[in-house]
Amino acid sequence: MSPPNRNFCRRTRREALWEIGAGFGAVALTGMLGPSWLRAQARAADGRSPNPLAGQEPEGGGPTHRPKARSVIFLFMYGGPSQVDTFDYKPELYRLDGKTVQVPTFGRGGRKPGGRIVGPKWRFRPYGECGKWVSDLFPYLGRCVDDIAFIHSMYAESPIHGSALLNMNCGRIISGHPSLGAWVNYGLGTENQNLPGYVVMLDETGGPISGAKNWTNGYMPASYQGVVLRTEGTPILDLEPPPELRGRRQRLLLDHLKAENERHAAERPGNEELQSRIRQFELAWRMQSAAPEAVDLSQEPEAIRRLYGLDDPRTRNFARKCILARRLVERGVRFIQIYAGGGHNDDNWDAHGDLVFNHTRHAGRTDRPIAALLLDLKQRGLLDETLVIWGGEFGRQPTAEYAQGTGRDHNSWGFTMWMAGGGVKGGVSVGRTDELGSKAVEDRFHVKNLHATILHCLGLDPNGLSFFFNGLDQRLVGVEGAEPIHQILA
Amino acid sequence: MALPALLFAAALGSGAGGPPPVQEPVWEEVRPLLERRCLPCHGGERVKSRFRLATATTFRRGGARGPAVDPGDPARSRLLEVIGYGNPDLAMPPDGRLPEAEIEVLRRWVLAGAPWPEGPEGRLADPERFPDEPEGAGREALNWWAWTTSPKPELPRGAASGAAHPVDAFLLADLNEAGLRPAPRAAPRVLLRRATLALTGLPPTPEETSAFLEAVERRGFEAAWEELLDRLLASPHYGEQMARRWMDLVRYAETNGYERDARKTNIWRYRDWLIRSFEEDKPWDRFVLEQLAGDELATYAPELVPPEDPTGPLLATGYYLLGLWQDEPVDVAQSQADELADVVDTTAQAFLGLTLGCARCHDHKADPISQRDYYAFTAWFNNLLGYGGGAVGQHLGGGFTTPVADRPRPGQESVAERDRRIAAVDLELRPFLEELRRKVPERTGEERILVADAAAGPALWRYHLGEAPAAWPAPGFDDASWAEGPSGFGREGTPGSRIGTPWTGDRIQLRTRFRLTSIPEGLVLRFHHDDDLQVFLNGVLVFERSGYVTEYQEVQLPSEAVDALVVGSNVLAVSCVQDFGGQYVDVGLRSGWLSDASQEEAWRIRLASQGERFLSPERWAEARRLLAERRSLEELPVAEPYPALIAVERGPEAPVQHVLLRGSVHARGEVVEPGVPRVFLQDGRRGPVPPEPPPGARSSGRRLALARWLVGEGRFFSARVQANRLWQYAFGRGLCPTPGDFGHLGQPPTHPELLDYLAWELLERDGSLKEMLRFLMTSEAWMRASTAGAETLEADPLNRLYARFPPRRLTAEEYRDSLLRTSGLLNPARFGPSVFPPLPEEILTTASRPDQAWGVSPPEEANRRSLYIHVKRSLRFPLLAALDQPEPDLACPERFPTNVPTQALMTLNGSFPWEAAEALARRVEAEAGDRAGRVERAVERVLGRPCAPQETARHLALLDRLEQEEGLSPHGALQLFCLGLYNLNEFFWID
Repeated sequence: MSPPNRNFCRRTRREALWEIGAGFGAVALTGMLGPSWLRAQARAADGRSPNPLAGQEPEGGGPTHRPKARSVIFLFMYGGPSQVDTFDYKPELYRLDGKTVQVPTFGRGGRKPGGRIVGPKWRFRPYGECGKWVSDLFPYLGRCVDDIAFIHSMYAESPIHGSALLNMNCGRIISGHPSLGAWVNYGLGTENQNLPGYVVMLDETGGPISGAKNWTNGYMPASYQGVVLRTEGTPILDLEPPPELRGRRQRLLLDHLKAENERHAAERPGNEELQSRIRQFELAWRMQSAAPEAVDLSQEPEAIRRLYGLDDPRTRNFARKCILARRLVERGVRFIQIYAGGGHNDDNWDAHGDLVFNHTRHAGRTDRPIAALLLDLKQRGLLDETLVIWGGEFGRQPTAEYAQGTGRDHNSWGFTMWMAGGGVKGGVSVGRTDELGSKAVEDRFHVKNLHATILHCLGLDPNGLSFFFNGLDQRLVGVEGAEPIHQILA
Repeated sequence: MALPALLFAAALGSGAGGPPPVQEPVWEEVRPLLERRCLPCHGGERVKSRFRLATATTFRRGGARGPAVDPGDPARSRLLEVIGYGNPDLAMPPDGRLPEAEIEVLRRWVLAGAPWPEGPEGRLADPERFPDEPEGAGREALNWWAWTTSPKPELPRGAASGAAHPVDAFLLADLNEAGLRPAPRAAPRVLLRRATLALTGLPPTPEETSAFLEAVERRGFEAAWEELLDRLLASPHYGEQMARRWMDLVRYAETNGYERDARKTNIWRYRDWLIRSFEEDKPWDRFVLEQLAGDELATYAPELVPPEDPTGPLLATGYYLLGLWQDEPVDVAQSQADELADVVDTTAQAFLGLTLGCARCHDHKADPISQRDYYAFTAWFNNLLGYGGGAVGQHLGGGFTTPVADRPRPGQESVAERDRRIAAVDLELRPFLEELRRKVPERTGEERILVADAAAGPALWRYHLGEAPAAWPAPGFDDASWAEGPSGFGREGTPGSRIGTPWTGDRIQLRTRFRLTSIPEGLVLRFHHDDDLQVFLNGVLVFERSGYVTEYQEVQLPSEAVDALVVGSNVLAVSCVQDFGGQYVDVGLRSGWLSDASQEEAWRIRLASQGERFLSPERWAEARRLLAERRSLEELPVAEPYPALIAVERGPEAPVQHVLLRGSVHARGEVVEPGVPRVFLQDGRRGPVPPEPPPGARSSGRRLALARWLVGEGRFFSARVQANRLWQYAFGRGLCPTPGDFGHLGQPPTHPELLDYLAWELLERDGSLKEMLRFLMTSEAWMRASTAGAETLEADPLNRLYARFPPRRLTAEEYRDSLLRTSGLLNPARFGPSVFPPLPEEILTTASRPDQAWGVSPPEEANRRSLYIHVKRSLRFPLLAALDQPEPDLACPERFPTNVPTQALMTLNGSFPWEAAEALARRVEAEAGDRAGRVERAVERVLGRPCAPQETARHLALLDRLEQEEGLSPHGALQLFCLGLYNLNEFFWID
């Protein structure tokens, strides 16, 4: 890869983008955008705005950093897992079980001055060389802690699912902004044109609240939208032709199309889009075989199938998605998001009623496959260039939501997320919540800091990567910017 | 109760221990902190909140909220407040709280009075990185093409002056200068397809093609072209095509977004208003006035209310309710401010070509637009009640609606007109009623109680609670199993009630019988109800009232009631439905007449029944004619009011508008008066002035004042923005290629003089969009071929000079609609609620409630044009979304055409193109007998041109292989071929 061209003064931003594109996959970029889009988007050079393709020197003059990660796997624990029952060990809390304390909370039930503590429902024990305390919900993941960086002091802008999901996926609680995966693909382009660069796998029980808004391209071109990959049946919408059009018949038709389109284009020089569209049909043809190949798990050896838990009815579904994620990473897909949990209520981590039932179910479905994914990536040497992210849109409160029972309400004031792999240290924990785990108090990190960290690990400058829209250089981390979480960077 | 340790700690921290002793601050420690932490946003290049830290002087001056350090009481200084992170909206630095040690350094410094050395020693960082610039954008920035007006430009002189058309004169001037020869005129057939798609969004049919070519042949191109444009501009599909373009701009969607993504009640009425407005060629100024202030016309400018469509301007203000709406915000006030900002940004973009949004949080980076400007502009709209009617909550998902009637359709009257005409007949009837009153005896002797009410009786009724059984009011219904009770059913305490039988459920049905030995002439019903009442005589519904009353009332039943009576046993049946509050039902029935003169209705019934007996034959004939006329007027189809989302304000007084620092409602700055950005007020131009609300006004009139300015004093600016869009609609891209941003961050126009000229043309043509499109489309530039020689391509690859016509791809909607039209599947019905073409299971499962994700429409409805497809924010129609229909969350002045393999998958493998191909195959099979004829017919239909012989041979070769090598049936092969046609670049692109 040639170094990004940072001097684009006196050229329009889009022309610069175009030229830089030539450095690492011009076909990909121009194919996605099309020359007329670039042309239509050309803006007057302002000579100041940062290069959207990063590798960008921060304003103080620091060194350009090399990307550590090439791909991202975001394991989205939709509904909001409880931090104090998973990775944020609060020994005090057991003792307070059932006692009423003054601790302000803010959840779907509004603001409360305090409430009845629900003690953690699982034992914690130390794991690994780092001695990280992990709850018994995650016996498999416990063994991976030396590869994981835990962030215990996350906070988000909303304790309501809809807006918090948007916050976590698109950086804002207001709808209309591109999602993280769109930004990553915008910043880096694709490595494998036979597969989409941004893939989303949903839970069997349904999509998350707001559906496609969570993998939207927002104000970016439609090509940056996430593609929903189904793990059963046809993986991508309309990937499979109607029965009458399969195999050689389709090839005959495509050859005919190609010949006719070439004649048409020959009479219309100067319109590169025509050639580009001819190529898209060939790419579509290849995708028809590449995508089913990518999702075909029959090639996976028995040991791998067992490792992920493909043989266990409880873990089978999520295991399938985790194996797929690895296969997609191997095939150059940039951004993969897997939802653990879908729909509403106990179909996801949203434990308002029976905490034990809910979290046992969702941890039980995912613990082994996720641990296997980390292990598998590592043994193939892929973990170094793959950034794995685990977490939900928020966490849960230490207190009970209702007079009776163990249900916890939403909590965006403090929760845990973890990252592993390309660009982050293993065996570290940063930030702290208070003794109750109710809110982040030390080294607090906003969702923006998480996003900045992800972009940074991919070699992008979070405060430089921008998209011009509505009179502004829009950024995932907002116009005011955000720093990566330096403590966890390798 | 055991308090956790941290709570104690917090209590200690909050001042109980008193401030620690002040230590001597060290400037060497403070300075790097200020430089590193504050200067990036409060330095030379970026001066947020007008607070600049460069030197001691600028620091002392402070920012938008005053000085950062209060010398009198340093402990209460703003600087300490913001770094303390107490108020999240004023927390600094915004990307995270400073480490404690750094806060402590700054705190000590501030408490010591923030000593800052003057001179070079106190100058932060290096001056190159943070030059001491004058504040705000300078004169240069103001002198920008988009904020200046010009008189109508003269046509260019010289070689171009020979051009017959002004557009060509301007374009040729530049082309000549560049030494480029424009492309020749395209073939008539190419122009027909280009024009038909541009103006209707649909391709021409073979019949239209041959008619046009024949006209060219017979009467010459110019005449045929004029005629074609006339036809297309009058087409019912013109309004649809224009409406779809406007819908992008105003981010039209039919749901609110976010978790519930609830449907906006009847918001399609705004879409229908758009279609009708374009169809009728509503002048640009009316189009602006009605959308921005249609609801204010009746109060502030009644002369502007169109008499033929008095409710249209109300529906136009659906404009304000199209946006995102959060029913469950974390911060209600902020969410409502966001809603308002969304309106402000969209309005500035659509009507002024201004990206005002970035001035919401700070002064515009590139344009001379201050935060003050932004909030002054906001003040025009800040009295709007908002989507939820001033509240939030999940139950308000449908929006705060107002009943509004549609414009009466042909053969339909408005309610007001019907009532006026009935009143005129009543006036004529009145003498007859007088005469009858004089002539009939005081009592006719036939008065008899048939069923007693609770006061006169009571009567015994059979009654049934809950849902009504089938056919229960019929005489033959068996009510033997029903309970029996005395009349007066309800709950104690209901005003005017007399309870005989308690009733507390939500529904009751009552039946009783009475005998007649002869049929009376008149029937009087006595009733009391709370709530909705229905009365049946022998199964015939004779009376109906909703709501409730608080005392007994009487009504003369119409002649249908008398007609329902029989000699012998009759059944009186009553039902009542309870809503909430009071609860009661009772009726009584007697024969005879209401004699109160004020009961005109009763006397009219009596006139119909007894007029013949008491009036002279001539008078009776006249009375009968009038009664019949009245009856037909009552049955006149009228446009009834029903719920609509329209603009509603809080009242005549708009609230005070503050500048909101960083865009946060919790950080109020100075107060601003309504105004337009100062860039538009150069050369002595004045801004709009809010009116004085007259007594009884329900709105402030501010929006109307702004709208009138946009089409008055500021008309040139809005006309230029619209003229640019018309060019964009005709040529595929604007003369200013960034139609939503005329500012410094947009691209300057390729032909600024031409753009000004067009703005004047639009104004001079009284804002007629149709005339403007006709004007543009009669230029040679528009009719040029879309190809050019190598020399031209080399010299002007981006076609900035329009030496050729810019080819473009079909839009998502044009693609889908073209498939429907050419295959014969199109249902051309217009208007009305949106439709739900079926979605694949794969798409539905992406929703969190897959079973409620989408609706169902009958198959023929599913084949309506694409602009009638339901627009759901969280579940976009995949085919349209993939082909670049924009996300409807934010205004989209120009679409991004993308080119990706997933599009090819959809157009090749998707079920919709496959069905269209099937329909097309069947269609051409019916039209032609042999394979070659079918192939040629399909090409004609899809591509709008005849199939060349060698081309037919190539297509037939494909069919041969598909049939012979692949064993497909002739029909199967033809279907595949048709699918191929729909995927050709020639079909996808407009030359």
